[in-house]
Formats: sequence, structure tokens, C-alpha cells
Amino acid sequence: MDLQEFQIKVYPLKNKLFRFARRMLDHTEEAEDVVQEAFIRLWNRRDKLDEYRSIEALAMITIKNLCLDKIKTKRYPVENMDNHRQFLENMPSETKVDNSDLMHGIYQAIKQLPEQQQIIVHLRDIEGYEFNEISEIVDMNENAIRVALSRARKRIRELLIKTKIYEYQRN
Amino acid sequence: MNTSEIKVLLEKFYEGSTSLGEEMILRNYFLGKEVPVQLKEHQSLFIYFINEKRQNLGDPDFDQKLTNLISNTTDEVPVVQMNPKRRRFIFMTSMAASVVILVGLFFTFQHDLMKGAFIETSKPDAEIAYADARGALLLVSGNLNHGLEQVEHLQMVDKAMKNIQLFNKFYQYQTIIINPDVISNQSLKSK
Repeated sequence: MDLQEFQIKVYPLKNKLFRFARRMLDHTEEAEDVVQEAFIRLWNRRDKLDEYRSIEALAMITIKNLCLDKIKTKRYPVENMDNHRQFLENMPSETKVDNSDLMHGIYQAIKQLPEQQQIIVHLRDIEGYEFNEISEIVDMNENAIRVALSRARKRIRELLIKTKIYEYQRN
Repeated sequence: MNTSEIKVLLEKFYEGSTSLGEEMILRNYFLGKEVPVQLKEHQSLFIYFINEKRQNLGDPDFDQKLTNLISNTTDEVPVVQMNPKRRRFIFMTSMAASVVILVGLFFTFQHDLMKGAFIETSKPDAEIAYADARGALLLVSGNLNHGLEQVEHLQMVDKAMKNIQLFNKFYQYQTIIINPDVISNQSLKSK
């Protein structure tokens, strides 16, 4: 695969990879760095990329593993808790959320889930992957993924009710 | 889609058994403005999902930076360079050493040459001349050895250079450890 083909086939994955990395690392700049690292790893395997059934799945697995390594070694600073809120507020105006407190509350609720459930919720509910695709990325069978997803969704609902986050919206 | 149908879908959603298509129906429903109060509490979650999907990598130069990085890695494997400070230090030391050696040699031989010239002109007698010449030659050879001792210091320079090569190796291994991709690049190249 030459540079041009790589740019056409792999570069467009950058936002998906970034969202995934940011979900896992909870840190915007670190996520950007990890995305770059993932691209370099993929580029180093450019001769073999065509052998993979899905470059996207490979890219997601690469970024997942890089993030897990980072989390294990804790080689990055902890981002300020307000950064996510700031991140939401700095978004371009058309995507800006007026109820950023509520959105931040949901972000926090997801953060309280076990790591694997966070990953599954992210892949399914945010990125909209099919179960067989998720299965490839997280290396679990589809049934186990459904069970984990159901637990995660119910838990998020419970947490939101507990923190009375919905009250904001009603008022 | 009426409220009771949405309720059924929501039930399925929390059981983890909705399809992507059904989840899309839920999304679109909650994006709409007419959501009954009894379903409001589910709305924010779906709006959150939609918003998260809109968050993109912020750096506008990301592609360009990445292309630069990538095109650099396709070039030669980076040569391990010695730290410039260290290089200057080695250069200065070797300069100083050679100046010391040159000055040493100059004084040693200047002394002998002047002595030799003096003997030749002042003692015409053959025997004395012979004895003196012998003495002078002995002196010269002795001093020559003396001079050689100084030259032996050159070996120190050699030794030092060997140690510096060890440093160079150390840096190579260090780079390999820090940046394993260099190895994979090298092994790719060698294939």
C-alpha cells in the first residue's frame, strides 16, 4: 500500500480512532498522540494491510491496545476534570450543546462503568458498530457483548436517576 | 411511531437486543421536538450519543503532520548521531593533545640540533670529534627514546577513542529500546 492509498483508506478513520482513544484515556491531547502512534504502526505494516478483512477493525484494535498499554503504565498526566466540559463548550457552534451539564453527567456515568462495558457502549451506541464487528475488536463472543451492553445501558440509566441529572432537563 | 411502540423499543434497547436499525429509529425519535414527558428521561442519553459521534479530532494540521512523519520513516533509518557537545569536547581534547606532542618534540630536537652544531665547529681533532660524535649520537638516541615516551601518550588517545565507540553502541541500543519501530524498520529493510 503506497502513501496515497494509505491516505485514502486509513486517514479517514482518524476521528473514530480519536473518539475511542479519548473515551479510554479521558485526555484529549494524549488521545491525539495515540492516534498518531496508531497510524504510524499501521503504516509500518502497510505491506500486509491488504491481507486484513477489515482495516478499520485492525485500526480500532491497534488503538485499543495502545490505550490499554498507556493506562497500565500510567505514562500520561491526569486531565483536569473540567477539560471535558471545556471540550464540549469549545465545539463548533453547530454541534454545541446547550445542556452541557447534562451531557457531562452522562459522560461521568459512563466513566463509572467497568472498562470493557465502556468500550462496548462506545462502539455500539456512539459509533454504531454491528455486534460481529464489536466482537472482533474486543475479542468477545456476540452473546457476551449483548449481556455486557444491556448491563451497561441499565447501569447508566440507574446512575443518571440516582444523580437526579434528569431534574435539570425537566426544569 | 407512537409512544407505545417507542416504549417497546426502549425495553428492547435496555435488554441489548435492538438492531442498529431499531436504534436508529430511537435516535431519530428522540431528536424530534415532540417527546412526551414520560419518555423525556431517555431523551438526553440518545442526544448524548449523537453529540459524542460529532466530536472530531481538533488539530486541523493533523493530516499534514502525519504525512510528514510517515514520509520521514520511509527514508533511511535515522543514523545515531553523537551529541554535538560531546563531539566538540572530543575534538578540543585531541587538538590539545596534538599541540602538546608537537611542542614536546620541538623542544627535544631543538636542544639536540644546537648541541650537535656547536660540537662540529669547535673541535677539529679527529679523535675528539669521534668521541664527541659518539657521545652526541648516544645523546640523540637517548633523547629520541625520551621523545618516544611522549609519543606513547598517543595510545591514550586511541584508547579514549575506543571508549567513545562504546558510547556510540550504547546510544544505538538505547534508541532501539526506546523506539522499537526502528528495529522493525531495520528488519524490514534487511529483508
